[in-house]
Amino acid sequence: MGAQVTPVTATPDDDLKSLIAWLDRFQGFRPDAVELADPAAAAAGTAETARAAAASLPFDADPAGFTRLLESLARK
Amino acid sequence: MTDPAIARMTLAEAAAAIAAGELSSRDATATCLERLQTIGGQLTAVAGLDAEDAMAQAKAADEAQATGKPLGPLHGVPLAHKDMYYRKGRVSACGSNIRKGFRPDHTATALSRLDAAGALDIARLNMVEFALGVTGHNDVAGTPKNPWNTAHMTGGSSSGSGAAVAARLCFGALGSDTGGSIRLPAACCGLVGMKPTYGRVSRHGAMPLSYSLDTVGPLTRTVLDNALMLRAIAGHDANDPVTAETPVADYVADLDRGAKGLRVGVPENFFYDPVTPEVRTLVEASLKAYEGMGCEIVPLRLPDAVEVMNRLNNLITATEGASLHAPWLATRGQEYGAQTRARLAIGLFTPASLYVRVLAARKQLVREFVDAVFTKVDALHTPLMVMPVPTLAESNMVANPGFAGYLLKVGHASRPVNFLGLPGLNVPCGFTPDGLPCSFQLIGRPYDEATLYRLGHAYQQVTDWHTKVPAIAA
Repeated sequence: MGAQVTPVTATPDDDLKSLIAWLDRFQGFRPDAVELADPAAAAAGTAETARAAAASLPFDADPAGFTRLLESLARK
Repeated sequence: MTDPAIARMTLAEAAAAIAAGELSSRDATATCLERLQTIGGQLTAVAGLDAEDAMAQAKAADEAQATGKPLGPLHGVPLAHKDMYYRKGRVSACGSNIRKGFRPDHTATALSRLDAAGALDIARLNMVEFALGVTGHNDVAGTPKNPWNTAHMTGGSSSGSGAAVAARLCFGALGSDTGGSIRLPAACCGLVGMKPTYGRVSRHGAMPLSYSLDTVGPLTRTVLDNALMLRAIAGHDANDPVTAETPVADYVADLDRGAKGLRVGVPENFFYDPVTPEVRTLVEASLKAYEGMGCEIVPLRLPDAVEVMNRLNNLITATEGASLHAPWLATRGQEYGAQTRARLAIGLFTPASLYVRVLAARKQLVREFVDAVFTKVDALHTPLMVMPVPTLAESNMVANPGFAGYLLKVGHASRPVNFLGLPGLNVPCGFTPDGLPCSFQLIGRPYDEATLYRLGHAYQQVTDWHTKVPAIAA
């Protein structure tokens, strides 16, 4: 195995360091921490929103075929 | 005919004059080229042009017209497009350094269809880097300026398309819309912009940003012009597997049926939340115009889920964009602008399981929305830009603290429409006190662009906002 990934900790600064370490380790990309801070904070909220929106989905909800769905909803 | 008189013509007028032999394609093209090179330079609207090739296209169009044979509906009309539509062998830089010298080996279906309709393609128009941005700023290829006031932003990402059509540098332009990138520049520059239903227009040969959200559509000065362009490019394409089989309506034939009797919905929640008073006044006045035309105005409570669609649209865009750009982020990260790099990088963190669930949730949310809205009304009328068009300085957030929230606000009324996959038409409805354009948006049932055009055209028959010309273009 290669470099150690910094574990996620409680403070936002440490979270950011962990994200950057993860990017470096798994994507081979080391972004500027200042650049990443604002979208990282926004994305954290978005992930929560996404989980809530998907919470009531049935087990067998299908992500594919969006165009076919739109066609079925078109004026007949 | 003098050059300014040619530039003032609409696309429909230019096409009719060329077909009738009253205007040569060469004169129209020479006029546009001269303006693209002068005014286009002042506005940073142009990514590239080949004047010799453009004039050769025009000469061929005039020779074809002289034969008396049937012509395409856009025959000889000079258009220019966002620099992300591939034409075989021609550079398509996508507003980036990374693709500065990229020459594709195929031509976009949308361009091929405009070619078949007889239109000329005379220039590549500037855009936001890789189409990822709603303000129009581009740190690597230059930021286009708003023709109504060059201190203000054009909106993005089809920033050059907005600036060029508003400044009468060409008769129409293609943009692309993943979160508002056709409608926002149209709104900021005082134009008609159509984001068609997902799957209505082929994306084959168009630079991808988000497979699940990308749409292709026109920016024009009038609704009629827009309908002419969409009619030429819409329809199934075997090269883009998400294109719909649903037949394409004759958008132009229906325009003169008027708006009387159509039911126009007005949202009671969400869309107006962050709208400033000066924008609200103008958008509400446009609603009064519809009332005067005999439309039934129907107040509507939208499903609460509309509140989260802006964020979910961002999640899909960032995730799919990041997957496309991951190899370049790893090897050429420093060649991106700071904002583009930060927004793409964040998409690399989306858990795959969450992303797939969001796509599944999207289908459920669209069903609920269409059922709640389009069983009661023919179209939804909303604001588009929620604030007066900001200056370039005010909106130059780069990757500073607060920029993610600012971008969410600018796309407040546009992104939910991409998430839902529905058609959205931007129609200019006046000017805020600082002299910058203001617009409303019409949202329709899937594949019902025809009703939006009918409503938009009816509005332009009783108002004259679309005839106003920016001083830089006079």
